Amino acid sequence: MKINKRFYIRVTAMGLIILFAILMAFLGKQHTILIDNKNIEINGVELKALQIVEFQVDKQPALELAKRDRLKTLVQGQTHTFIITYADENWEEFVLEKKLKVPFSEDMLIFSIPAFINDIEDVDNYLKPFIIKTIN
Amino acid sequence: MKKITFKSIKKLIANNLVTVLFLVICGFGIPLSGYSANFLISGIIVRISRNSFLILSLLIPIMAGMGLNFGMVLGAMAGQIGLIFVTDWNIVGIPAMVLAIIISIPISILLGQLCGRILNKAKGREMVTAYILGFFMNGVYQLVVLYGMGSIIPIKNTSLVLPRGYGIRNTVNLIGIRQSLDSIFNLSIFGIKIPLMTFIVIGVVCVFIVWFRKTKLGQDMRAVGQDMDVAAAAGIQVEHTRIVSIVISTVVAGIGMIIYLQNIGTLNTYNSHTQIGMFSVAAILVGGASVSKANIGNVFLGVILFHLMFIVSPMAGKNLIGQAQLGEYFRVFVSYGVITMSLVLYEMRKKRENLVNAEKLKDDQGDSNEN
Repeated sequence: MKINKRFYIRVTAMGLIILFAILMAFLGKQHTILIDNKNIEINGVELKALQIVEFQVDKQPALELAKRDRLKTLVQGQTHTFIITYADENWEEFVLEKKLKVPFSEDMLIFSIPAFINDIEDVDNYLKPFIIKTIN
Repeated sequence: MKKITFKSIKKLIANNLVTVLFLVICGFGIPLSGYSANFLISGIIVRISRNSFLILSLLIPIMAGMGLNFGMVLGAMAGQIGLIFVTDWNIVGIPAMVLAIIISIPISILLGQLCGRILNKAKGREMVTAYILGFFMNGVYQLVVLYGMGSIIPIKNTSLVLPRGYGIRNTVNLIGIRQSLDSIFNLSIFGIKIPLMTFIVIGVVCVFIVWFRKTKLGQDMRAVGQDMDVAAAAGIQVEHTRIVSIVISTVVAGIGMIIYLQNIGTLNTYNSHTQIGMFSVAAILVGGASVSKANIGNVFLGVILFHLMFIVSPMAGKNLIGQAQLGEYFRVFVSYGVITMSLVLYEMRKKRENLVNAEKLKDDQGDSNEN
Protein backbone atom coordinates (compact mmCIF):
# COMPACT_ATOMS: atom_id res chain seq x y z
CA MET A 1 0.00 0.00 0.00
CA LYS A 2 1.34 3.38 -0.99
CA ILE A 3 1.38 5.79 1.93
CA ASN A 4 1.13 9.39 0.76
CA LYS A 5 1.25 12.81 2.43
CA ARG A 6 -2.53 12.91 2.86
CA PHE A 7 -2.39 9.75 4.99
CA TYR A 8 0.09 11.35 7.40
CA ILE A 9 -2.02 14.50 7.63
CA ARG A 10 -5.11 12.43 8.45
CA VAL A 11 -3.31 10.39 11.10
CA THR A 12 -1.88 13.57 12.68
CA ALA A 13 -5.30 15.24 12.64
CA MET A 14 -6.90 12.19 14.28
CA GLY A 15 -4.15 12.10 16.91
CA LEU A 16 -4.69 15.80 17.66
CA ILE A 17 -8.45 15.28 17.98
CA ILE A 18 -7.93 12.40 20.41
CA LEU A 19 -5.50 14.52 22.45
CA PHE A 20 -8.03 17.36 22.45
CA ALA A 21 -10.75 14.95 23.61
CA ILE A 22 -8.51 13.78 26.48
CA LEU A 23 -7.85 17.42 27.42
CA MET A 24 -11.60 18.10 27.44
CA ALA A 25 -12.17 15.06 29.67
CA PHE A 26 -9.59 16.35 32.15
CA LEU A 27 -10.94 19.90 32.08
CA GLY A 28 -14.56 18.89 32.44
CA LYS A 29 -14.37 16.00 34.89
CA GLN A 30 -16.60 16.70 37.87
CA HIS A 31 -15.86 15.36 41.33
CA THR A 32 -18.12 15.33 44.35
CA ILE A 33 -16.26 16.23 47.52
CA LEU A 34 -17.80 15.47 50.88
CA ILE A 35 -16.42 17.81 53.52
CA ASP A 36 -16.35 16.03 56.82
CA ASN A 37 -16.00 17.68 60.22
CA LYS A 38 -16.23 14.59 62.43
CA ASN A 39 -13.85 12.91 64.84
CA ILE A 40 -11.44 10.69 62.95
CA GLU A 41 -8.92 8.09 64.09
CA ILE A 42 -5.57 8.04 62.30
CA ASN A 43 -2.82 5.60 63.35
CA GLY A 44 -4.56 5.02 66.68
CA VAL A 45 -4.82 8.74 67.49
CA GLU A 46 -8.25 10.28 67.62
CA LEU A 47 -8.46 13.73 66.03
CA LYS A 48 -11.29 15.88 67.34
CA ALA A 49 -13.75 17.72 65.13
CA LEU A 50 -13.76 21.52 65.29
CA GLN A 51 -16.60 23.43 66.91
CA ILE A 52 -16.93 25.72 63.91
CA VAL A 53 -14.90 25.88 60.73
CA GLU A 54 -15.09 27.57 57.35
CA PHE A 55 -14.29 25.63 54.19
CA GLN A 56 -13.68 27.04 50.73
CA VAL A 57 -12.66 25.33 47.51
CA ASP A 58 -11.38 27.38 44.56
CA LYS A 59 -13.53 30.50 44.23
CA GLN A 60 -16.75 28.91 45.37
CA PRO A 61 -18.69 30.47 48.25
CA ALA A 62 -17.33 29.49 51.66
CA LEU A 63 -19.21 26.81 53.62
CA GLU A 64 -19.53 26.87 57.38
CA LEU A 65 -19.43 23.57 59.23
CA ALA A 66 -20.25 22.90 62.86
CA LYS A 67 -19.11 19.81 64.78
CA ARG A 68 -20.32 16.51 63.21
CA ASP A 69 -21.36 18.26 59.97
CA ARG A 70 -20.85 16.75 56.53
CA LEU A 71 -21.49 18.92 53.46
CA LYS A 72 -21.18 18.31 49.75
CA THR A 73 -19.48 20.38 47.10
CA LEU A 74 -18.92 19.85 43.39
CA VAL A 75 -15.65 20.71 41.65
CA GLN A 76 -14.69 20.66 37.99
CA GLY A 77 -11.18 19.85 36.77
CA GLN A 78 -8.23 18.19 38.42
CA THR A 79 -6.39 20.79 40.52
CA HIS A 80 -8.15 22.63 43.32
CA THR A 81 -7.27 24.99 46.12
CA PHE A 82 -8.69 24.10 49.51
CA ILE A 83 -8.87 26.82 52.17
CA ILE A 84 -9.77 26.11 55.80
CA THR A 85 -10.37 28.94 58.25
CA TYR A 86 -10.75 28.07 61.94
CA ALA A 87 -10.15 29.51 65.39
CA ASP A 88 -8.51 27.86 68.40
CA GLU A 89 -9.60 28.05 72.06
CA ASN A 90 -8.17 31.58 72.35
CA TRP A 91 -10.17 32.70 69.29
CA GLU A 92 -6.97 33.12 67.33
CA GLU A 93 -7.80 32.66 63.64
CA PHE A 94 -5.80 30.33 61.40
CA VAL A 95 -6.00 29.95 57.63
CA LEU A 96 -4.68 26.81 55.97
CA GLU A 97 -4.41 26.64 52.19
CA LYS A 98 -3.39 23.74 50.01
CA LYS A 99 -3.46 23.13 46.27
CA LEU A 100 -4.32 19.51 45.52
CA LYS A 101 -4.73 17.23 42.54
CA VAL A 102 -7.85 15.11 42.63
CA PRO A 103 -7.53 11.61 41.11
CA PHE A 104 -9.25 11.59 37.67
CA SER A 105 -10.90 8.23 38.14
CA GLU A 106 -12.60 9.10 41.43
CA ASP A 107 -16.12 10.51 41.21
CA MET A 108 -16.60 11.01 44.94
CA LEU A 109 -14.03 11.85 47.62
CA ILE A 110 -14.19 12.63 51.31
CA PHE A 111 -12.20 15.49 52.79
CA SER A 112 -11.60 15.25 56.53
CA ILE A 113 -11.07 18.67 58.12
CA PRO A 114 -9.56 17.39 61.43
CA ALA A 115 -7.04 15.27 59.49
CA PHE A 116 -6.23 18.23 57.21
CA ILE A 117 -5.52 20.49 60.18
CA ASN A 118 -3.48 17.76 61.89
CA ASP A 119 -1.09 17.29 58.95
CA ILE A 120 -1.57 19.35 55.80
CA GLU A 121 1.07 17.36 53.91
CA ASP A 122 -0.46 13.94 54.56
CA VAL A 123 -2.94 14.04 51.66
CA ASP A 124 -3.73 10.31 51.80
CA ASN A 125 -5.19 10.69 55.28
CA TYR A 126 -7.54 13.60 54.63
CA LEU A 127 -8.58 13.15 51.00
CA LYS A 128 -9.85 9.65 50.35
CA PRO A 129 -12.11 8.08 47.74
CA PHE A 130 -15.64 7.60 49.01
CA ILE A 131 -17.87 4.78 47.80
CA ILE A 132 -21.53 4.81 48.75
CA LYS A 133 -22.43 1.52 50.39
CA THR A 134 -25.33 -0.18 48.67
CA ILE A 135 -27.53 -2.92 50.08
CA ASN A 136 -27.90 -5.87 47.74
CA MET B 1 -39.23 49.31 -9.90
CA LYS B 2 -41.47 46.31 -10.54
CA LYS B 3 -45.16 47.19 -10.51
CA ILE B 4 -47.25 45.40 -7.88
CA THR B 5 -50.31 43.91 -9.54
CA PHE B 6 -53.06 41.59 -8.37
CA LYS B 7 -51.50 38.85 -10.50
CA SER B 8 -48.07 39.28 -8.90
CA ILE B 9 -49.59 39.15 -5.39
CA LYS B 10 -51.54 36.03 -6.34
CA LYS B 11 -48.35 34.44 -7.66
CA LEU B 12 -46.43 35.37 -4.50
CA ILE B 13 -49.15 33.81 -2.31
CA ALA B 14 -49.31 30.70 -4.49
CA ASN B 15 -45.54 30.28 -4.27
CA ASN B 16 -45.50 30.74 -0.50
CA LEU B 17 -48.83 29.20 0.42
CA VAL B 18 -47.58 27.34 3.51
CA THR B 19 -45.85 30.43 4.90
CA VAL B 20 -48.93 32.57 4.29
CA LEU B 21 -51.14 29.95 5.93
CA PHE B 22 -48.91 29.97 8.99
CA LEU B 23 -48.91 33.74 9.15
CA VAL B 24 -52.72 33.58 9.17
CA ILE B 25 -52.75 30.87 11.89
CA CYS B 26 -50.33 32.88 14.04
CA GLY B 27 -52.30 36.07 13.32
CA PHE B 28 -55.43 34.43 14.76
CA GLY B 29 -53.64 32.50 17.50
CA ILE B 30 -51.66 35.32 19.12
CA PRO B 31 -54.65 37.44 20.26
CA LEU B 32 -56.55 34.29 21.28
CA SER B 33 -53.67 33.06 23.46
CA GLY B 34 -53.47 36.34 25.36
CA TYR B 35 -49.69 36.10 25.72
CA SER B 36 -47.68 39.31 26.07
CA ALA B 37 -45.23 40.37 23.37
CA ASN B 38 -42.37 39.97 25.86
CA PHE B 39 -43.30 36.36 26.57
CA LEU B 40 -43.67 35.49 22.90
CA ILE B 41 -40.38 37.11 21.89
CA SER B 42 -38.41 35.41 24.67
CA GLY B 43 -40.05 32.08 23.79
CA ILE B 44 -39.14 32.52 20.13
CA ILE B 45 -35.53 33.47 20.96
CA VAL B 46 -35.14 30.33 23.07
CA ARG B 47 -36.51 28.20 20.26
CA ILE B 48 -34.36 29.84 17.60
CA SER B 49 -31.25 29.13 19.67
CA ARG B 50 -32.45 25.57 20.35
CA ASN B 51 -33.58 24.45 16.91
CA SER B 52 -31.81 26.50 14.22
CA PHE B 53 -28.64 24.40 14.19
CA LEU B 54 -30.65 21.22 13.60
CA ILE B 55 -32.67 22.77 10.79
CA LEU B 56 -29.55 24.17 9.12
CA SER B 57 -28.40 20.57 8.68
CA LEU B 58 -31.16 20.14 6.07
CA LEU B 59 -29.78 22.75 3.67
CA ILE B 60 -26.87 20.85 2.14
CA PRO B 61 -28.80 17.72 1.02
CA ILE B 62 -31.44 19.99 -0.56
CA MET B 63 -28.61 21.69 -2.43
CA ALA B 64 -27.43 18.28 -3.68
CA GLY B 65 -30.93 17.46 -4.91
CA MET B 66 -31.59 14.84 -2.25
CA GLY B 67 -34.65 16.53 -0.85
CA LEU B 68 -35.42 16.91 2.82
CA ASN B 69 -33.06 14.71 4.79
CA PHE B 70 -35.30 12.74 7.13
CA GLY B 71 -32.14 10.76 7.85
CA MET B 72 -30.98 13.57 10.12
CA VAL B 73 -32.35 11.49 13.02
CA LEU B 74 -29.27 9.31 12.53
CA GLY B 75 -27.10 12.28 13.47
CA ALA B 76 -29.41 13.02 16.38
CA MET B 77 -28.88 9.47 17.65
CA ALA B 78 -25.09 9.93 17.38
CA GLY B 79 -25.34 13.16 19.39
CA GLN B 80 -27.36 11.39 22.06
CA ILE B 81 -24.82 8.57 22.31
CA GLY B 82 -22.10 11.20 22.86
CA LEU B 83 -24.19 12.78 25.62
CA ILE B 84 -24.82 9.43 27.33
CA PHE B 85 -21.06 8.78 27.45
CA VAL B 86 -20.11 12.20 28.86
CA THR B 87 -22.85 11.89 31.48
CA ASP B 88 -21.52 8.47 32.46
CA TRP B 89 -17.98 9.81 32.73
CA ASN B 90 -19.23 12.67 34.89
CA ILE B 91 -17.85 15.37 32.60
CA VAL B 92 -19.62 18.72 32.77
CA GLY B 93 -19.82 22.16 31.15
CA ILE B 94 -18.45 23.20 27.78
CA PRO B 95 -15.73 20.48 27.82
CA ALA B 96 -18.55 17.92 28.10
CA MET B 97 -20.30 19.41 25.08
CA VAL B 98 -17.09 19.45 23.05
CA LEU B 99 -16.32 15.87 24.06
CA ALA B 100 -19.86 14.76 23.18
CA ILE B 101 -19.41 16.40 19.77
CA ILE B 102 -16.04 14.64 19.27
CA ILE B 103 -17.68 11.29 20.15
CA SER B 104 -20.71 11.93 17.94
CA ILE B 105 -18.78 12.95 14.80
CA PRO B 106 -17.28 9.52 13.90
CA ILE B 107 -20.64 7.85 14.60
CA SER B 108 -22.39 10.47 12.45
CA ILE B 109 -19.88 9.98 9.63
CA LEU B 110 -20.41 6.22 9.72
CA LEU B 111 -24.20 6.52 9.77
CA GLY B 112 -24.10 9.26 7.12
CA GLN B 113 -22.00 7.05 4.84
CA LEU B 114 -24.48 4.21 5.28
CA CYS B 115 -27.43 6.51 4.66
CA GLY B 116 -25.76 8.09 1.59
CA ARG B 117 -24.96 4.71 0.06
CA ILE B 118 -28.52 3.50 0.55
CA LEU B 119 -29.94 6.73 -0.87
CA ASN B 120 -27.73 6.33 -3.93
CA LYS B 121 -29.50 3.04 -4.54
CA ALA B 122 -32.88 4.77 -4.24
CA LYS B 123 -32.43 7.80 -6.49
CA GLY B 124 -35.63 9.79 -6.86
CA ARG B 125 -37.10 8.29 -3.70
CA GLU B 126 -34.59 9.72 -1.23
CA MET B 127 -37.02 11.23 1.25
CA VAL B 128 -39.15 8.17 1.87
CA THR B 129 -36.05 5.95 1.93
CA ALA B 130 -34.33 8.19 4.50
CA TYR B 131 -37.54 8.29 6.54
CA ILE B 132 -37.77 4.51 6.70
CA LEU B 133 -34.02 4.24 7.28
CA GLY B 134 -34.55 6.47 10.33
CA PHE B 135 -37.04 3.91 11.71
CA PHE B 136 -34.63 1.06 10.98
CA MET B 137 -31.71 2.81 12.67
CA ASN B 138 -33.96 3.65 15.60
CA GLY B 139 -34.27 -0.10 16.14
CA VAL B 140 -30.50 -0.50 16.02
CA TYR B 141 -30.08 2.46 18.40
CA GLN B 142 -32.55 0.91 20.84
CA LEU B 143 -30.75 -2.42 20.64
CA VAL B 144 -27.41 -0.75 21.45
CA VAL B 145 -28.72 1.55 24.18
CA LEU B 146 -31.25 -0.82 25.76
CA TYR B 147 -29.20 -4.01 25.66
CA GLY B 148 -25.61 -3.14 24.75
CA MET B 149 -24.93 -0.35 27.20
CA GLY B 150 -24.09 -1.62 30.65
CA SER B 151 -23.47 -5.15 29.38
CA ILE B 152 -21.07 -4.94 26.40
CA ILE B 153 -20.37 -1.21 26.54
CA PRO B 154 -19.28 -0.35 30.09
CA ILE B 155 -21.49 2.18 31.91
CA LYS B 156 -20.52 2.65 35.55
CA ASN B 157 -22.91 5.43 36.57
CA THR B 158 -25.72 3.62 38.37
CA SER B 159 -28.11 6.54 37.94
CA LEU B 160 -27.92 6.00 34.16
CA VAL B 161 -28.44 2.24 34.10
CA LEU B 162 -31.77 0.48 34.53
CA PRO B 163 -32.23 -1.44 37.82
CA ARG B 164 -31.72 -4.77 35.99
CA GLY B 165 -28.05 -3.82 35.46
CA TYR B 166 -27.92 -3.01 31.76
CA GLY B 167 -29.64 -0.59 29.41
CA ILE B 168 -30.02 3.16 29.79
CA ARG B 169 -32.95 4.63 31.72
CA ASN B 170 -35.78 6.38 29.88
CA THR B 171 -34.63 9.80 31.05
CA VAL B 172 -31.07 11.00 31.48
CA ASN B 173 -30.50 14.11 33.55
CA LEU B 174 -28.14 16.43 31.68
CA ILE B 175 -27.73 18.78 34.62
CA GLY B 176 -23.96 18.87 34.06
CA ILE B 177 -24.27 20.48 30.65
CA ARG B 178 -27.66 22.17 31.04
CA GLN B 179 -27.52 25.53 29.25
CA SER B 180 -23.72 25.56 29.46
CA LEU B 181 -23.49 27.10 25.99
CA ASP B 182 -26.50 29.38 26.40
CA SER B 183 -25.15 30.89 29.61
CA ILE B 184 -21.67 31.88 28.36
CA PHE B 185 -22.62 35.35 27.09
CA ASN B 186 -26.05 36.59 27.90
CA LEU B 187 -27.59 39.82 26.77
CA SER B 188 -30.73 41.11 28.40
CA ILE B 189 -32.93 43.54 26.48
CA PHE B 190 -36.23 44.59 28.13
CA GLY B 191 -36.04 41.48 30.29
CA ILE B 192 -35.58 39.21 27.28
CA LYS B 193 -32.53 36.99 27.67
CA ILE B 194 -30.52 36.46 24.49
CA PRO B 195 -28.01 33.57 24.52
CA LEU B 196 -25.33 35.31 22.45
CA MET B 197 -22.84 32.45 22.34
CA THR B 198 -25.40 30.04 20.89
CA PHE B 199 -26.29 32.62 18.25
CA ILE B 200 -22.59 33.06 17.45
CA VAL B 201 -22.28 29.29 16.94
CA ILE B 202 -25.38 29.29 14.71
CA GLY B 203 -23.91 32.26 12.82
CA VAL B 204 -20.67 30.35 12.24
CA VAL B 205 -22.64 27.48 10.66
CA CYS B 206 -24.52 29.95 8.45
CA VAL B 207 -21.19 31.44 7.31
CA PHE B 208 -19.90 27.90 6.71
CA ILE B 209 -22.91 27.09 4.51
CA VAL B 210 -22.53 30.34 2.51
CA TRP B 211 -18.81 29.64 2.08
CA PHE B 212 -19.41 25.98 1.28
CA ARG B 213 -21.75 26.85 -1.59
CA LYS B 214 -18.88 28.70 -3.25
CA THR B 215 -16.36 25.88 -2.93
CA LYS B 216 -15.69 23.30 -5.66
CA LEU B 217 -17.60 20.67 -3.69
CA GLY B 218 -20.50 23.06 -3.14
CA GLN B 219 -20.68 23.86 -6.84
CA ASP B 220 -20.55 20.15 -7.62
CA MET B 221 -23.46 19.56 -5.26
CA ARG B 222 -25.49 22.26 -6.96
CA ALA B 223 -24.72 20.74 -10.33
CA VAL B 224 -25.72 17.28 -9.08
CA GLY B 225 -28.87 18.78 -7.60
CA GLN B 226 -29.86 20.33 -10.90
CA ASP B 227 -29.21 17.35 -13.14
CA MET B 228 -27.32 14.22 -12.22
CA ASP B 229 -26.73 13.10 -15.81
CA VAL B 230 -25.32 16.47 -16.88
CA ALA B 231 -23.15 16.57 -13.73
CA ALA B 232 -21.83 13.06 -14.44
CA ALA B 233 -21.11 14.08 -18.03
CA ALA B 234 -19.17 17.06 -16.69
CA GLY B 235 -16.91 14.69 -14.76
CA ILE B 236 -18.43 15.12 -11.31
CA GLN B 237 -18.49 12.02 -9.12
CA VAL B 238 -22.24 12.14 -8.57
CA GLU B 239 -22.61 9.32 -6.06
CA HIS B 240 -19.63 10.43 -3.99
CA THR B 241 -20.91 14.03 -3.91
CA ARG B 242 -24.33 12.85 -2.74
CA ILE B 243 -22.77 10.75 0.03
CA VAL B 244 -20.66 13.72 1.18
CA SER B 245 -23.75 15.92 1.37
CA ILE B 246 -25.55 13.39 3.58
CA VAL B 247 -22.46 12.92 5.77
CA ILE B 248 -22.17 16.70 6.33
CA SER B 249 -25.88 16.89 7.10
CA THR B 250 -25.67 14.01 9.58
CA VAL B 251 -22.65 15.49 11.36
CA VAL B 252 -24.32 18.92 11.63
CA ALA B 253 -27.52 17.23 12.91
CA GLY B 254 -25.48 15.40 15.57
CA ILE B 255 -23.96 18.67 16.80
CA GLY B 256 -27.37 20.33 16.54
CA MET B 257 -28.90 17.64 18.74
CA ILE B 258 -26.26 18.26 21.41
CA ILE B 259 -27.02 22.01 21.32
CA TYR B 260 -30.76 21.23 21.43
CA LEU B 261 -30.44 18.94 24.44
CA GLN B 262 -28.08 21.21 26.39
CA ASN B 263 -30.80 23.83 26.19
CA ILE B 264 -33.51 21.45 27.44
CA GLY B 265 -31.33 19.77 30.09
CA THR B 266 -32.98 16.36 29.89
CA LEU B 267 -32.43 13.54 27.45
CA ASN B 268 -35.41 11.39 26.66
CA THR B 269 -33.26 8.40 25.66
CA TYR B 270 -35.74 6.60 23.41
CA ASN B 271 -37.87 9.46 22.10
CA SER B 272 -35.86 12.70 21.84
CA HIS B 273 -34.57 11.96 18.34
CA THR B 274 -37.75 10.50 16.85
CA GLN B 275 -39.66 13.77 16.49
CA ILE B 276 -36.63 15.86 15.56
CA GLY B 277 -36.61 14.99 11.86
CA MET B 278 -40.31 15.64 11.45
CA PHE B 279 -40.33 18.97 13.27
CA SER B 280 -37.18 20.25 11.56
CA VAL B 281 -38.52 19.37 8.12
CA ALA B 282 -41.88 20.97 8.96
CA ALA B 283 -40.14 24.12 10.20
CA ILE B 284 -38.02 24.59 7.06
CA LEU B 285 -41.09 24.02 4.85
CA VAL B 286 -43.06 26.59 6.84
CA GLY B 287 -40.18 29.00 6.20
CA GLY B 288 -40.89 28.77 2.47
CA ALA B 289 -38.42 26.11 1.42
CA SER B 290 -39.32 23.36 -0.99
CA VAL B 291 -37.92 19.91 -1.69
CA SER B 292 -35.51 21.34 -4.23
CA LYS B 293 -34.85 24.87 -2.98
CA ALA B 294 -33.95 26.24 0.45
CA ASN B 295 -31.84 28.97 1.95
CA ILE B 296 -30.76 30.22 5.37
CA GLY B 297 -33.64 32.73 5.45
CA ASN B 298 -36.15 29.86 5.18
CA VAL B 299 -34.59 28.27 8.26
CA PHE B 300 -35.05 31.30 10.50
CA LEU B 301 -38.47 32.28 9.16
CA GLY B 302 -39.54 28.66 9.57
CA VAL B 303 -38.32 28.43 13.16
CA ILE B 304 -40.07 31.68 14.06
CA LEU B 305 -43.43 30.81 12.48
CA PHE B 306 -43.52 27.12 13.34
CA HIS B 307 -42.50 27.60 16.94
CA LEU B 308 -44.69 30.64 17.37
CA MET B 309 -47.55 28.31 16.53
CA PHE B 310 -46.13 25.80 19.04
CA ILE B 311 -46.10 28.38 21.82
CA VAL B 312 -49.44 29.93 21.00
CA SER B 313 -51.61 26.92 20.11
CA PRO B 314 -52.13 25.26 23.56
CA MET B 315 -53.28 28.49 25.19
CA ALA B 316 -55.28 29.55 22.13
CA GLY B 317 -56.96 26.12 22.16
CA LYS B 318 -57.71 26.47 25.86
CA ASN B 319 -59.19 29.94 25.47
CA LEU B 320 -61.16 28.96 22.38
CA ILE B 321 -62.58 25.56 23.37
CA GLY B 322 -61.59 25.32 27.02
CA GLN B 323 -59.09 22.51 26.49
CA ALA B 324 -55.31 22.97 26.19
CA GLN B 325 -55.08 19.43 24.84
CA LEU B 326 -56.71 20.64 21.63
CA GLY B 327 -53.72 22.90 20.99
CA GLU B 328 -51.40 19.94 21.54
CA TYR B 329 -53.27 17.86 18.97
CA PHE B 330 -53.42 20.84 16.70
CA ARG B 331 -49.67 21.40 16.58
CA VAL B 332 -48.89 17.73 15.88
CA PHE B 333 -51.57 17.59 13.21
CA VAL B 334 -50.31 20.85 11.70
CA SER B 335 -46.67 19.71 11.55
CA TYR B 336 -47.63 16.56 9.64
CA GLY B 337 -50.13 18.52 7.56
CA VAL B 338 -47.52 21.10 6.59
CA ILE B 339 -45.20 18.44 5.25
CA THR B 340 -48.00 16.76 3.29
CA MET B 341 -49.25 20.05 1.91
CA SER B 342 -45.76 21.21 0.89
CA LEU B 343 -45.04 17.94 -0.86
CA VAL B 344 -48.38 17.97 -2.67
CA LEU B 345 -47.89 21.60 -3.72
CA TYR B 346 -44.36 20.85 -4.87
CA GLU B 347 -45.52 17.92 -6.98
CA MET B 348 -48.41 19.97 -8.41
CA ARG B 349 -46.06 22.82 -9.29
CA LYS B 350 -43.58 20.41 -10.88
CA LYS B 351 -46.32 18.79 -12.96
CA ARG B 352 -47.65 22.18 -14.03
CA GLU B 353 -44.15 23.31 -15.03
CA ASN B 354 -43.59 20.08 -16.96
CA LEU B 355 -46.89 20.57 -18.73
CA VAL B 356 -46.05 24.17 -19.66
CA ASN B 357 -42.60 23.09 -20.89
CA ALA B 358 -44.16 20.27 -22.93
CA GLU B 359 -46.66 22.70 -24.49
CA LYS B 360 -43.83 25.10 -25.27
CA LEU B 361 -41.77 22.33 -26.85
CA LYS B 362 -44.77 21.20 -28.86
CA ASP B 363 -45.36 24.74 -30.14
CA ASP B 364 -41.66 25.17 -30.98
CA GLN B 365 -41.58 21.86 -32.86
CA GLY B 366 -44.79 22.81 -34.68
CA ASP B 367 -43.23 26.12 -35.73
CA SER B 368 -40.03 24.47 -36.97
CA ASN B 369 -42.06 21.85 -38.96
CA GLU B 370 -44.06 24.61 -40.63
CA ASN B 371 -40.84 26.38 -41.60
